[in-house]
Amino acid sequence: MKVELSALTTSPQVKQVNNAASERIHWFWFASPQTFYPLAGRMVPWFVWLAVLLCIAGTYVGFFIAPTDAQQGDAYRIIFLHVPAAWMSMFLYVVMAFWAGVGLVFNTRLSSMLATAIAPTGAIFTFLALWTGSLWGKPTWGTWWVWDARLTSELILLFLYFGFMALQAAIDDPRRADRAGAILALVGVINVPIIYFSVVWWNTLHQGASISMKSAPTMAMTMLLGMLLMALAFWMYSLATILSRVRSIILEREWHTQWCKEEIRRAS
Amino acid sequence: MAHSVVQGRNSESVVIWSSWSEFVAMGGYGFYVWGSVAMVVVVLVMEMIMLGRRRRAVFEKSARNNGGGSETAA
Amino acid sequence: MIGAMACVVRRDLALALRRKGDAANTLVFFVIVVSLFPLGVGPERALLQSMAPGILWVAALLSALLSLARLFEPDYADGTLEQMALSVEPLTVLMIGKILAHWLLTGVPLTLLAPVLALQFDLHADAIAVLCAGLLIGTAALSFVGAVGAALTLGLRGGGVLSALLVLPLFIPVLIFGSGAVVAVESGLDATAHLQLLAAFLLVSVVIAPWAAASAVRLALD
Repeated sequence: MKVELSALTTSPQVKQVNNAASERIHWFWFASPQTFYPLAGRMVPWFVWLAVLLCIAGTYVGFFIAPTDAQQGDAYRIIFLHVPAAWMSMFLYVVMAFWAGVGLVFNTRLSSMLATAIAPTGAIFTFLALWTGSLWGKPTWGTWWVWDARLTSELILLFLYFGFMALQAAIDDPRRADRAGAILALVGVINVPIIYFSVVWWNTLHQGASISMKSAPTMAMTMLLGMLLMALAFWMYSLATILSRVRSIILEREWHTQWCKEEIRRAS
Repeated sequence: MAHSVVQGRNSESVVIWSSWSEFVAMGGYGFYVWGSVAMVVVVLVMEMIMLGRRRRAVFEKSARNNGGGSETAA
Repeated sequence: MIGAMACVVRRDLALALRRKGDAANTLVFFVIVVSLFPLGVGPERALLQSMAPGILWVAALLSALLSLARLFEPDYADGTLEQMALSVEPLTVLMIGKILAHWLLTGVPLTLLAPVLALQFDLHADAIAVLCAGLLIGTAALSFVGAVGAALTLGLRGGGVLSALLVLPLFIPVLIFGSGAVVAVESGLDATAHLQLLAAFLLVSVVIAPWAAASAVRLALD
């Protein structure tokens, strides 16, 4: 299944395919770590700046424009961090599984490296969702931890991230680590909706209706806007850290190649 | 900065924070709100520091490996 | 293909019969874990009765997990797994055989033992019946899902703990539906929905797990 880039670009038969599906070839061109490395390096500062700007905008909307909630007071302002962190944690798991799957099927090294790079950032956002959820729960529910569906499934998601990272860390051969991680991530991503559904079901059976963060009585437009801005900020931050981590992973794995040696010489 | 004006539902102006200390107090929930903000900032900054360290570690390791005098043609 | 699968099942059962201790240890572990809970939470009958479904299911989960270490490891050590991977029969089918054998050796005995332990917790007869039905379906799902974890950690340092870390989060739906079924019966509700969901989970894992386990075994053999 290995895509031979040189064969693709030289063979006249494939040339036609090349034109027809130029978009795809374009992406495969960047699937090589050597071409992706400088591209990622150029993109990182942009994403950092976008993250900073969006974070400022989101904080401004969330803390200065959004009105105080009638029921929860100002404690609700935690959701401007909690909900975007929870969104990112779930989104990143799916993206991680996607790239791990692409790496497994097409045998593209860079996809697997991306999946490896996504895991720590995903785990961090899961942890932040749990931390902020707990701090939100204390004034709202009166306890630091409630076994509600959202917090419980975030906790399980954290376990899934830990499993992925622990498995990859335990395997010395990077290619085996990539594939083993991909199998686990694919099994995990099929399981995530099942786990979420079962936890919601378990929760409704055991404690009936509980206050949830979804039931903020009337979600004002400014609240939604603040959450959206913060989610975008976290997204840009994730892109920046993931790309930066992928660059490190590329160098760690390919330091013996000529282009990496030149790159390292130039950078240091 | 602490004086922020917003269009309320009946398009009347609502001032959320009248003073800096009121902003810090967060209506009595300051500990929870700023505890969340602080953890987010600490964790994200820590991640960026770790990323920088990891990158430097690669450079140092490859410098050791390549610059040891016994460089072989790879 | 069915023949090859049956052959693997027969072989694993014969091997287990020759070393009865291994299978027995899992059951003893199950009994001990269940017996620890009354010592930990106190002997109040009502409390234990309400906790019984959860206790029995968590103990079953841990027992299944413990026995997973033996699922592939001996065959990996003596090269049988390599022969299986090289055989003309698809490895996925042979994996199903191994998983079925594992279920027959751990899941089924656990199910047979569970009523005795349930009596210790004073569960009603219909609750015990649902517990057994749930365990029969659920332990099969545990064997299938667990095989993926066992195969992924084959030959790694600290494989046992790692496999627990990988597999336990994936076991959660089984735990929820399995103990939920018993709780439902205890509180006078119908448990068929729980058992159907358990069976649905089993079907999904039957489709996915053998393939994933076979790919993971191939990785370990490379």
